[in-house]
Amino acid sequence: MRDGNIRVSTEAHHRELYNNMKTCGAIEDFHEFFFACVCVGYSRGKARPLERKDDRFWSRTVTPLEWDCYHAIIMQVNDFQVSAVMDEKRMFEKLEEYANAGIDIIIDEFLRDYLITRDARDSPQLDPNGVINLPKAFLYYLLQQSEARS
Amino acid sequence: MSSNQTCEDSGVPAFIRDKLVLYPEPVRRLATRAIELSESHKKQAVCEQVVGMIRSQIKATRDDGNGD
Amino acid sequence: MAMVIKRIILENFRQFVGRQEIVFESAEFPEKNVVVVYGQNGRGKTGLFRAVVFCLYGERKLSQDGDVPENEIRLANLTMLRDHPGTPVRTSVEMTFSHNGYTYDLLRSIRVMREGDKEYEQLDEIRLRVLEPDGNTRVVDVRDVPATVAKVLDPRVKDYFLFDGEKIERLTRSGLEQRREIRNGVRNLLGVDALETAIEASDCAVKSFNKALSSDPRTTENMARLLNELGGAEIESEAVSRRVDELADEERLSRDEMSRIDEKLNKYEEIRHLLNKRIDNEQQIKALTQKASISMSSMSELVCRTAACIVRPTLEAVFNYIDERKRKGDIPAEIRRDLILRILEEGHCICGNRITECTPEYYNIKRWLERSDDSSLQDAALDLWRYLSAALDRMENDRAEAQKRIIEHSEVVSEAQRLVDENAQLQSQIGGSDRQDISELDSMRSRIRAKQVQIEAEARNCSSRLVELEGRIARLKARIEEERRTANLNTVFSGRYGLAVAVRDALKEVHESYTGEIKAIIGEKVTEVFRALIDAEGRTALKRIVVDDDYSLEVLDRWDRSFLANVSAGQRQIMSIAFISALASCASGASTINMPLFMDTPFGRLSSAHRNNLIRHVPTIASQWILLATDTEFTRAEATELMRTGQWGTFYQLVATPEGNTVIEGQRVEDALAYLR
Repeated sequence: MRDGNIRVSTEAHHRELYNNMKTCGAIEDFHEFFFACVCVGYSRGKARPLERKDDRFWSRTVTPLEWDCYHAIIMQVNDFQVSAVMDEKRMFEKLEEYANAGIDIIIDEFLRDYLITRDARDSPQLDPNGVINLPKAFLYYLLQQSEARS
Repeated sequence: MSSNQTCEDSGVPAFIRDKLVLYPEPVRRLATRAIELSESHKKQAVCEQVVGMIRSQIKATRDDGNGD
Repeated sequence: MAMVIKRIILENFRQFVGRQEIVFESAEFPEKNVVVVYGQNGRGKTGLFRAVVFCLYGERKLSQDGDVPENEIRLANLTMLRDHPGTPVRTSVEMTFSHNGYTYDLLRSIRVMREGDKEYEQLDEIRLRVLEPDGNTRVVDVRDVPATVAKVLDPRVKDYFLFDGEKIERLTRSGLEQRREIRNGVRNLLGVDALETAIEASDCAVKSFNKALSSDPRTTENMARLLNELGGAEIESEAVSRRVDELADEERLSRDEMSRIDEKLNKYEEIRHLLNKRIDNEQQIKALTQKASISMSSMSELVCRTAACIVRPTLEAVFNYIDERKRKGDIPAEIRRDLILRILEEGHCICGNRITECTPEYYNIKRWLERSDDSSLQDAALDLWRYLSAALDRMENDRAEAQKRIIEHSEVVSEAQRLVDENAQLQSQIGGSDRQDISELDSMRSRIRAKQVQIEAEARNCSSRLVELEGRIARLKARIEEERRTANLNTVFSGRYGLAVAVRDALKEVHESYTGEIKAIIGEKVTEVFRALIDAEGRTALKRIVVDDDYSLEVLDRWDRSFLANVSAGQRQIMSIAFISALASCASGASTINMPLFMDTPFGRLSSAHRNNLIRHVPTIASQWILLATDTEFTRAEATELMRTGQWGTFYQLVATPEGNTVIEGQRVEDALAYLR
């Protein structure tokens, strides 16, 4: 369990956004943003398969708390079968779909105000001039999500 | 700089020489020479000299059979 | 061993007409290292130092001459030129000095002729004789004279061994130009300039080899790309570093300007309390802004723990499920799965009874089997149960922590804003004053303040960018190294590049370490000398002197607050003397100053306590002290104090002649008091 050699992917379209979130200090590393997206996507019951996979990070960067949550999510989805968490590669494939849906929700509900407004087909990109308060605002958004679910 | 230097001494201050001692040859030698040249030459001239010294050093190393 | 001037012979040099001699080192008491040359202004005290510089280096200009063109500084005695028109007048300085057991006799002469209103000058003779410790004498080739002299006293050092009262005072005025002067002097003196040039030159070599390596066909595409990226990142890093330095200068300049304006505004009694309040508020705003910035950067630490709270219901559900199965005995199973399988296979229970298919017992055992998991799954479930238990326990605290941090940040920002608003009101009170001069000063201040805020923001951005770039450069270097190893790239180009990088990095490391240590050493030395020279009141108020990152001096009081702006003129002089002494001592590489120290009217603004401290202390830190003093500052009081040190060796008076020339008259030290006021 807790296989560190799995390559976790996101939509290629979101690579820039992941980089921007890290540069502006809203997250310390990519696995954190992925985790937040999984939590938001799963809590809304949404999943979306990836169209164009792009490697994002190694599973060895995932923290113990994230592993616990991932295992719990996959168990719940699989009717509480413990065996469902043994195939972690498959587990991440499912989590990637939750994250993919979750990031859309986060962009739609929260990050839209921070993006450089361009053509909708372009990858979303944060406006470097507008992100000074983003770390706090993002944390607040997550807090609000947790309060809505409790 | 120190008035206590003899004719044979390098123009490099003792403080700096003491620190360069910790580095291996030829790094130490080349670094010392670069500082000495910088006392009286401009950057570009020193750069050209340093480039030349490095070329010679690598050639000498390879001629000793250490290269490929 | 120290350099000591034994004697100087002047011939028709400046106002010294004819051939005149000053003996600096007393034959009877060579260990007495203080020489006093006493005379009114204009009698040639500075001329003596000019003679030394001319003799040693062939230079006629001193730093105090400022912008005066060198060819306007005359060396030949005017009376002789006037009295001998059309005839070359020999002007010379001969100096005998000792150093490291060698005795040097150096002569430098020119011939000057006046015809009509024109003067013609020609080099006459340069001669250097060296008496070696073994008693042999050799004559140094005229081409080798500059190098020989430089080894005794480096030309760059000379500006720090003569200091006059003006220079002393100039060096410690607060202001960007003066700081630069100190910085350049220190860097030059200690060879930092040469080290920095060497770094730039080696960096240039690295770039050159980088380019060659990238273009080498044997270099992999990946390696070439990495090298290009590294080159780009290093160039950007240099540019950003330079900008950071520029911003630091701009910030200091604006701070100095702000202090000057505040000082002026402070004179207006009616608004003083408002000004003080405004300054207090500004300091608090700065502290709160910094606190808010730190708080903001810490928000990312809580992202994971807060996001986990979103899926709390899931964690609870899974935890409860496993918990239930534990209570039922399914996990860990009361009977192991492999045992159940064996029972079914063999058809015998552990109690010995037969188990037949389609019987109730058979179905019970099948149900056992269904409920049981293999041991690895059971272990996984137990582990998960434990982890989830711990995670759920912490969750409420995690949420509370996130809330607390958000609220705290908001409070800090809010408080800062309140102070900003308060200052805006104070601003309108101060600026709205009936006095136009106050309003104008205050507007200027607002503009400077706005500029400061801009500078601070840009400096922060640059610093973050530098950190990012440094990280990127380090990663690229590691990848390049790995690429070299894995590709086994042992080509000539790769070797050259590697060596160039090693030399450059070595020089940079030495620079960082050296400059840090030197600043600390100078700071300690300056403080040591300063505390020996300053009066008791100064010692109480002023704790130490430190050398800032840009090599400027900062005086700190006993609470480590900056005190430079409040230092009195006399204390500034002492500080300057301490600084130059420390510098000279560091340059000598010894704990004392191994060169003759010429002080031209150093007592100008010093109190008697400071003068006495100077008189007592300087002979102990310099190999030779040549005190050039006027009648107003070197009185019987100073002479008495100097006699007490037992170090006063020789005494000369510079006496004016009716023609405006100067005659050097030697007097006995014991009789000095008779000549003084």
